[in-house]
Amino acid sequence: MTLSYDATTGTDRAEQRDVPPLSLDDVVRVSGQVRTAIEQVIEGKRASIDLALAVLLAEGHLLVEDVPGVGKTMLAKALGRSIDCAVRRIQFTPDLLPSDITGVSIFNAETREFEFKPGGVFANIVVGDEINRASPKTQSALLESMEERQVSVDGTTYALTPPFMVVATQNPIEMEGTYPLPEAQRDRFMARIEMGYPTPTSELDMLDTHGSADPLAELPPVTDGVVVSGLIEAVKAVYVAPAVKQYLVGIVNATRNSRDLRLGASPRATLQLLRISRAWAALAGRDYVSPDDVAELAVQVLAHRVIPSAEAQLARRTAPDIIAHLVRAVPLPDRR
Amino acid sequence: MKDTDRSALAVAIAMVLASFVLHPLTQDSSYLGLSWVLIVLLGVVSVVLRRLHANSAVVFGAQLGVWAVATLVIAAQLPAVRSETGLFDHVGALFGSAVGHMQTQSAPMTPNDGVKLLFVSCLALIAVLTDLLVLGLRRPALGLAPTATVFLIPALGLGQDTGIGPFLLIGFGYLAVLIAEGLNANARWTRGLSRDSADEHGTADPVVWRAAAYIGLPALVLVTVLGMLLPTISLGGFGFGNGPGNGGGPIQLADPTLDLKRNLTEPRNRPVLEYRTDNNDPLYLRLASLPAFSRAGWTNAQTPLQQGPDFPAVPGMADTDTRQRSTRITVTDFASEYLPMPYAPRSVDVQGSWGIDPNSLVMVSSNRNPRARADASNGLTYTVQSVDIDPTAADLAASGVGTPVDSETTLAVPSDLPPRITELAKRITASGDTASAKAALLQAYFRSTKNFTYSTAPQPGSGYQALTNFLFEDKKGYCEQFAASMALMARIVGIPSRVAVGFLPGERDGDHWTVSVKDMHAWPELYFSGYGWVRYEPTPSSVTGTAPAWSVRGTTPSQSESDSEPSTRATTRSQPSAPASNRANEQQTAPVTQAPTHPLRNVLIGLAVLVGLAVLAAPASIRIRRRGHRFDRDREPSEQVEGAWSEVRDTVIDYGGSWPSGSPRTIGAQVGDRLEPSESEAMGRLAVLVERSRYAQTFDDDLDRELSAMTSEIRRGLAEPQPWHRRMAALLVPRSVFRGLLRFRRRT
Repeated sequence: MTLSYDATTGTDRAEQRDVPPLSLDDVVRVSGQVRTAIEQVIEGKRASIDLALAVLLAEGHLLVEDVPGVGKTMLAKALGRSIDCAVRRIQFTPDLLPSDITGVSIFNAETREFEFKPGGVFANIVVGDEINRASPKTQSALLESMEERQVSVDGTTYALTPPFMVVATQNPIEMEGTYPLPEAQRDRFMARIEMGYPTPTSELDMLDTHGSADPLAELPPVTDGVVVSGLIEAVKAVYVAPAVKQYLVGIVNATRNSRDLRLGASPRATLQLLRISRAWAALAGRDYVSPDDVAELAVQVLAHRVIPSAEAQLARRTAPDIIAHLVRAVPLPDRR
Repeated sequence: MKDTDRSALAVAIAMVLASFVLHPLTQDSSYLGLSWVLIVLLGVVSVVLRRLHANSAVVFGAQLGVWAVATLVIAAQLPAVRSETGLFDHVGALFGSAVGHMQTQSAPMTPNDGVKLLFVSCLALIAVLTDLLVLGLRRPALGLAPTATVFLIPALGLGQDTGIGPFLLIGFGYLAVLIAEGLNANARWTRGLSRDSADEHGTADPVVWRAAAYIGLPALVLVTVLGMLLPTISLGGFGFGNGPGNGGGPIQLADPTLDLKRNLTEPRNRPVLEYRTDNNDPLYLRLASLPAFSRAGWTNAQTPLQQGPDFPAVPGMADTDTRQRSTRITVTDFASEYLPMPYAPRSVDVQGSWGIDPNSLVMVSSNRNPRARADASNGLTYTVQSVDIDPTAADLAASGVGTPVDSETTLAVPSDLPPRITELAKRITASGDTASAKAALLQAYFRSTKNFTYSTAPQPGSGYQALTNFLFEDKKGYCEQFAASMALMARIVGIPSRVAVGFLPGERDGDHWTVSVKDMHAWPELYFSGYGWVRYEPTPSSVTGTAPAWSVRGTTPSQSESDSEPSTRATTRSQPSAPASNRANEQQTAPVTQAPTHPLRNVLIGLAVLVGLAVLAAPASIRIRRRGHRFDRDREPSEQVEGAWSEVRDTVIDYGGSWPSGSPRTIGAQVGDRLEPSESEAMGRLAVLVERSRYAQTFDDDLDRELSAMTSEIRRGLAEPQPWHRRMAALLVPRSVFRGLLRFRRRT
């Protein structure tokens, strides 16, 4: 039995709401509004915001990785807040149980029936905070919901309403009390971004805005889940020329043949790189993907999926460096 | 063989070859052997030290030391100039004497000890420098520079064509250095290969030898052949053409007019030669003919010499069956490299090695030794068979001006000639209607005692100044001024002319004629069709007696006939009344048969120039054609965009810029950075258009006008900051045309 569970209203929902047909201009306009809204909260992180938006429009999940306190959670929450949809935040801790994420069936003494109490994943945007602090068992509970966009509890499958996006934050794995995220789960994230420290000017601005009140509380939603679903549909219409597809496959293939990498990118990575390239082109208002889009996104999409070889690690070459190097080496398609 | 051994050997070979270049400078080249010993010694030093892994600086220092010691040792062996002074002073004195010797001697000189030491020392030092460039600094391509300096010594010092030999010597030496470097390069990259792989595929060394054989040698041959077609490299030394064929390059002829002035002003008259001829007529004996006129005056022109004893056809003379006159001449006291002969000689029976200038029929000693050459005529007794050029005034009036083979020399009037000379020539000849009439008017003008005074002490001066002085100012001169002025004025009025130098007939002394040193004389020769070079006599009669019969203007042919002296000249002509039309026909074909090589050579030069121009113009025309094709409106929009993109790319490359790699947008941004804002914006738009045409689903913009406007704006922006020479280079030698080649080179 498959049920559609409306996270917004908290009720079962039989009918699908109509998704309005939207154009590329709407993508540019709405994403611009969202970007402006988020920038009120986070200064000087234009690139991270754009990438988060692209992941949202490409129906992917985002992994934000950096040291504590640089605004990972703030970005995730601001994204959720600026879109009028259900946002849940799950703080991952070592004692978090899988059922806390998926939900649990509890016996209702009054109705004498088991009643499903949905877990934290039932939302449009799920902020998984410090995801690598939870045990691998709990982490893997996210697996099914992220890939299948559904949750199975006690033999019943609950579908998650679109848009659905997991924004997970994690501390660098070298830090204390962390479990490294398994490769299979890393592969499910469309892109990984690193926030990085703000520039001194951004940090000064931040002192002014964040000094007294909580700007997140004042952030008004600028759009809603239905519109976002419409935007996702619009992005799917972006054209990808055969030459660009070839280029994309060439890059992914290069990761598999590189001597610097022990594990190359998966075919899922190929698909996701294609989808996020479409979203990236749409955000720029283009109805076609250019090789530049692919090249720009390759590091963010591929770097967290690959494992550098021992030699590369000894030579202090990080995965992003290796991917960037590979992208430069793949010849650009000349003609259509 | 190690890398360094190979290169050192090549350097030694190149230097030994280069040393031969100095050979024509001196009469005695035995010192070259010593320089070879030194070159080999330096090579051994280089090889041994480099085998011991010595630093390049150490090798260079050691070689310099060997060079210095060797120079001193050789100097110490030479007889001292001032034996009481120290060794260094001795070397300095030797070098000083060498410089002094070279300044006073002309090549080929007799080398003194200083010159030998200087040459050996220089060659060794150049060997050290070449070794430093090729082995020390590993720049074998620059190894040409020091050896080329050796080439410059004869090229600058001889003051004449060096011939093809030195060039080939240097070229082969350089080729040897390059071959060694090619073999070394192979050795370097095949060093890591296992023996097996080398056995299976062979080595790459044959490629180097083949490259040398297929590229290097043909290049040398091609340059030689092209050089042969161009007039600047003389091939006399190798027996090509009509050269005397005894090696070493052309002979430098002395200026006969120098003797003229000296002999005429000599205080004591003395007999120089005697001659006796059929009927014992008086004869003008000619030494040389100067065909070239320039600012400096009348000079020799360089022509390849032919071997005697028989002379080539008389230039421009139609009658071939004229009776020959036999003259026996004994030179008693006259040293010259020219042989005194009546004009026009047909054959001569003379001792020694002589060459014949086919244009002037002058006979020149082809002895290599300058001293022997300068004395060649002295004491000779010889017999000349000659024909007389003695048309009647009527014949000459009937014939027109001819065109001699060397008309480009004998008709040339310098453009910077003072205009008053031209005006004077036109004024004198205004009443003459035919060429012979004009010539007669000129001669009469000069012979008139009202106009000029004969004097062997004219105002000093040279060139134009001397001419204007003679013609307009003091109006005094001797035969040289008269002859030079008349010849020049004849050219101005369109008659080919030259100045002959020789002797007046002299005095009759019983059965022979005696010519004295004061009989030296100069006279103009003018060219008429059917007769060739005809003698005129503008020098006043006080010195020369009566003018030649044909040169005096007669009102009617019959009158001039009767006026002419009752000389035997008129009767020596067997057919004085040969039909003029017949002659005219013959003279037209005459120049071609005389020297068949010349027109062919001109055609070849013309062809070579045409081919050269075509080759030069080819890149530019290819480029322009490409551009036209790219903006063809009939093509697909996407192709038009790609065409515009390629055009911008080629323009960037033409101006020496680099075309970035990457996507259109990246390239657009990078190239845009080099441009002004508005042009940069156009570049950005073009880049987006290219991106869309390549990667978007549909591309059907109406770009007709926009695209070409955009492209020309970008091209303008690219051209503006370039200096003019870069723009010219981009127009004439567009690098984009050679892009394929460049790319190939980068890949290899």
